Amino acid sequence: MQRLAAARRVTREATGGGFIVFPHQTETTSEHQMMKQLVFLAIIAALGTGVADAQQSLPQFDLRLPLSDPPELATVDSIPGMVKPRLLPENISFLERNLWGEHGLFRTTGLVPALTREERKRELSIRRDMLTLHQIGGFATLGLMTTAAYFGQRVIDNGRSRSLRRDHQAFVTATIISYSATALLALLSPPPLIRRDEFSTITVHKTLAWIHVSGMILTPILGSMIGRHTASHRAHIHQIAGYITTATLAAAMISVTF
Amino acid sequence: MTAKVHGVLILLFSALSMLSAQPGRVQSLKGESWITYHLTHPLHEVEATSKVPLFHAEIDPQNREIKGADAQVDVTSFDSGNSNRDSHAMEVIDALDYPAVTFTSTKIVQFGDSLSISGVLMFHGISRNIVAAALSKWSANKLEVLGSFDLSLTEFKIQRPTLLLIPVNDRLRFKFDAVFALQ
Repeated sequence: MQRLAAARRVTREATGGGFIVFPHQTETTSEHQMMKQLVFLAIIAALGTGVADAQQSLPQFDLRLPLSDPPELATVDSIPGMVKPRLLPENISFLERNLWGEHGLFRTTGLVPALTREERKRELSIRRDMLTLHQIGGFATLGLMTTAAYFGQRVIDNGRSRSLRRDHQAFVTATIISYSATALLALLSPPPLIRRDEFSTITVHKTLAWIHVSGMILTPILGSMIGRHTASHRAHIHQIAGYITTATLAAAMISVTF
Repeated sequence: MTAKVHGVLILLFSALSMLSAQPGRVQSLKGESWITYHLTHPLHEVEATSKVPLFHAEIDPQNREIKGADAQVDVTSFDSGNSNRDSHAMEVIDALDYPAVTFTSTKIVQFGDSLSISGVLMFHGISRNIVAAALSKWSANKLEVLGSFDLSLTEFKIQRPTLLLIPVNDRLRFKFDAVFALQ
C-alpha cells in the first residue's frame, strides 16, 4: 500500500498535478471521494478547454477590419500563406522544355535571360504577340491556299494555260512560306502559364494540325509528280489532297473560336 | 450512489460539449468548398471553378452566427475546361504579379439564414469594397455558406479580353460554397 501511494505521488508530480485513477484504487477510495475527484476533473477539464478557447479566440477580432481606408489594410503582406505561382506549366511539352525551360536551348545559348518572374512576364507578352501573329498568319495562309486551290482547279480544267500554271505555282510557294512561318510562330512560342491534360478546342485544333501538316507535305510532292499530265490519276489525288488540306486548315481555325 | 456518479458524468460531458461549441475560427474543408466565376461574351459563356479556395470564418455555433470571414484563392487554380483560355486569363490579370484573390469581411449582417457580407476584395492588386449575398446552412457538424457577388473588370483595371474583336462583358459574377466542419 505504501508503494502504491508513493507511485501515485510520483505520477501526480510528473503530470503536474494531474489526476490519474488506478484500477485498484476503488478498493481503498470511498464513493464520496470518487465524486469529489470527478467534480475536480470536470473543473480542470473545463478550465483547460476554456483557456484553449480563449487562446484560439484571441486573434479572431483582429481579422475584422475597420471600414476606414480598406486599400491600405488589405495589403499583400498581410495575407498569410501567400500564393506563389509557377513560372512554367507542369504539363510542359518536350519542345517547350528544350527551348524555353530553365535549362532550355534559348537560355543556355544566351538568346534569352535566365528564368525569373520578370523574364517570364516578358516571355508571356512575346507569346501573346506570337499567337496573335499566328492567328493572322492562319487567315493569310487560308486565303493563299484557297487561291492556290482555285488556280489548281483551273489548271486541271484548262491544262494548256501557262499563265494559270504560273499563278498556281506562285500561290503554292506563297502558301508554303506563309504556312511555315505561321506554324513556327506557334511551335517556337514560349509556353503558357497553365497547361492541363484535358480535351478542349485546342486539342481539336492540334489534332487537325497533324492532318493539314501531312497535307502540306504530301500535296506539293504529289503536284511535282504530275508534270504536264493534268488529267492523270496523280493529278486527281493531288487535287483531293489539296482540297482536304484546305478544308482541314479552315476547320482547325474555326475550332478555336468555340 | 451509482446514479450520482452517472449524473456527474452527464454533467461533465454536457459542460465539455457546451465549451466545444464556443465561438471560434474555422477553416473550410478542402474538396468540399469551391468558387466559380462566370464570364459572358456575346458568343460565349465561360465558367471556371477553383476547388481549392481557402475560407476562414469566425463563428458562434450556439447562436448560429457568423461574425467574420476571410478568403483566399490561387487565381491559377480556376479551371474553365480549356487551359489555353485559362492561361490567357492569367496573362490578362497579371497572375505572376497578383497570384491570389483575397477577401476580408468588414461587416456581416444576418437575417435568419440570409447573410449580407461586406468586405474588401483584393484582385489584380486593387482593393475594392464589395457586398456578397449568401445563405448559411447549419447542421449538427457542418456549416455551409453559399453566396455570390459581382465585380467590374474595369474597376479592377483589367483589360477585357476580346474574341473576334468583341470584348467580354465587364461584369464578372462569382459564386462560392464554403463548407466548414463544426467541432
